[in-house]
Amino acid sequence: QKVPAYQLKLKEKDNSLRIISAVIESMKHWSQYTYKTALLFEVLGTLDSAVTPGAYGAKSFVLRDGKESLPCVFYEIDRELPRLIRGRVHRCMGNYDTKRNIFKCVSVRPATVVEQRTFQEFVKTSDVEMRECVKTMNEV
Amino acid sequence: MAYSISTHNFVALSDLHPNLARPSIIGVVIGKTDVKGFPDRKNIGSERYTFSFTIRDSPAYFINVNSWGREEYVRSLSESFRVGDCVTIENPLVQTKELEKEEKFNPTTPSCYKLLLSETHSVVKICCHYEVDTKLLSLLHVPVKDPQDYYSLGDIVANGQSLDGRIINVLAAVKSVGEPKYFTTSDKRKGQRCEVKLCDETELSFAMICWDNESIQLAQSWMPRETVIFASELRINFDKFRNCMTATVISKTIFTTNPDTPEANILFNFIKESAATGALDDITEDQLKESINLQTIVDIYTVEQLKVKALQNEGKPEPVYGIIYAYISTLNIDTDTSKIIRNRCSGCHYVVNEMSNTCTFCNDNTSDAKSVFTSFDLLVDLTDHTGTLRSCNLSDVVAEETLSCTLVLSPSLRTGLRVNLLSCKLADPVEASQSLSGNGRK
Repeated sequence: QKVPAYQLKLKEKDNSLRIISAVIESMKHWSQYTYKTALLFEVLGTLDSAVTPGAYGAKSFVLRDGKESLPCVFYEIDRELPRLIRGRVHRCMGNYDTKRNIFKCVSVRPATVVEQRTFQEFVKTSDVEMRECVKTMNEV
Repeated sequence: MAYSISTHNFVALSDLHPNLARPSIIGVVIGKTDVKGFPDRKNIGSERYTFSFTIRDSPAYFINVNSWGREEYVRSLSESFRVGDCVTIENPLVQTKELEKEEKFNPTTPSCYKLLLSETHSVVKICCHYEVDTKLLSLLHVPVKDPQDYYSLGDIVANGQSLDGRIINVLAAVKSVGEPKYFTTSDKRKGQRCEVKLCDETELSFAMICWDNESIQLAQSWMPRETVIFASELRINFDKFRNCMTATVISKTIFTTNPDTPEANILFNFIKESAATGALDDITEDQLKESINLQTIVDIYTVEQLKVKALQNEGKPEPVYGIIYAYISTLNIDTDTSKIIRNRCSGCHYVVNEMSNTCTFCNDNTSDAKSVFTSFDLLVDLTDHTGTLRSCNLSDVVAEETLSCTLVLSPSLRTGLRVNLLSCKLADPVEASQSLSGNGRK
């Protein structure tokens, strides 16, 4: 079967950033491919700790979804972390450091009700896409 | 007044009465609605179908006809004729109109009755045009309202939001008829939309939107820059999105194509002349932008699909329009301000030369420098789960807005993909998740 030229072109060239909606488990899983394609994650989870200050303007906290929990850090470089309320669901954008098991957040805020309701659907869509993407990576 | 073809004697619509035994009537169809299904209250689980039309047999008289019944019957009857055709009806049920209920969704008629058709009792026949009295056919060009009772487009614009929701008559020329667009609503119903641009002496472009198949079909028969229409009972709306007044075709609307009135003739001559002198072609960049009707953009893409589409379209002059649900992944507002804010020529909206602050585009050599205005000129990256569109143009008014992202894309070999954001708003997560889950790979 002949592959159209534009598809080849896309495969070769395009490794642009993807933003992936993920639960903690799938975020950890897809993170192993960050060396091949740029990924940024959107994770929704319940704040399950106090927010504690650390060195270099770091604010640390723990996020939980289901049985999985995720240590997170946000560095207050150009802006402060908003007030987060333990027990509420928050939306974090960031990257996972596999070696240190820590989620480095670039943006944290309370998740809206609609976001919580639709999140599973986004996770599913992202999963399908990533599975396909990994398959392609292995082919090339 | 009665017409006769062959041996039939027809009752004039004005003489119809509930006590008449088996009346037969004849008339031209001047309005028609789409077929709709309703759950049958008597027969739970099944549906009853209906459509209605309006027939006329004299300048002063027309009446609404409703047909109810099985889907096959109603559909085949509806498909058997169109607006402009002549029909005869044998034995309709003549019913007194309940004014308020009836005229909420049906055209206002001079008759105090309406007609009901049933599969078992009534017969509808379509007449060939050549066997129909020309007097009857000429009624197609007589407005159903007082020919002077209309708003010019300029009147509508001048009245502005005070006309929002009002139902009025309009006399205007057809400037262009858009392609019908088909879509599926979030509750899985199929829909269609077609935008007609109207114009007259007072307004060069005014949008009229058709949402039903019958009016879309009719609109497709109009000749841009030739057809004049008298539209009775159009609904006027204020379009918040485009910040302008628009007209919407509703089930009450009746179109009279090329009305035979002095006002319509004047308008016809005007549009002919304007078309000949090119006054209507005079499209500046601004108008071009305005003519991209965001609501006609319905195709939803992922970033990857858009890139594929752009590559497929390489070399073609027309841009790709679409909607993507994505994150703004780069919004660099820390660069040199001159790159974020630019001066544009107030004459032609082109970016002016930074050094001299003069517009090189409209070539205006007069000594007094044209005024300039400042506007945003941002480059943003858009990212979703399939990739990133780099350096999309976000400028002007659009930059000041916030929901879904509507794009215009003009691929060119030299500069690569060029994406202009026509509208960039916060996406509704529900809408986005539904679109994406239906869109992605399975």
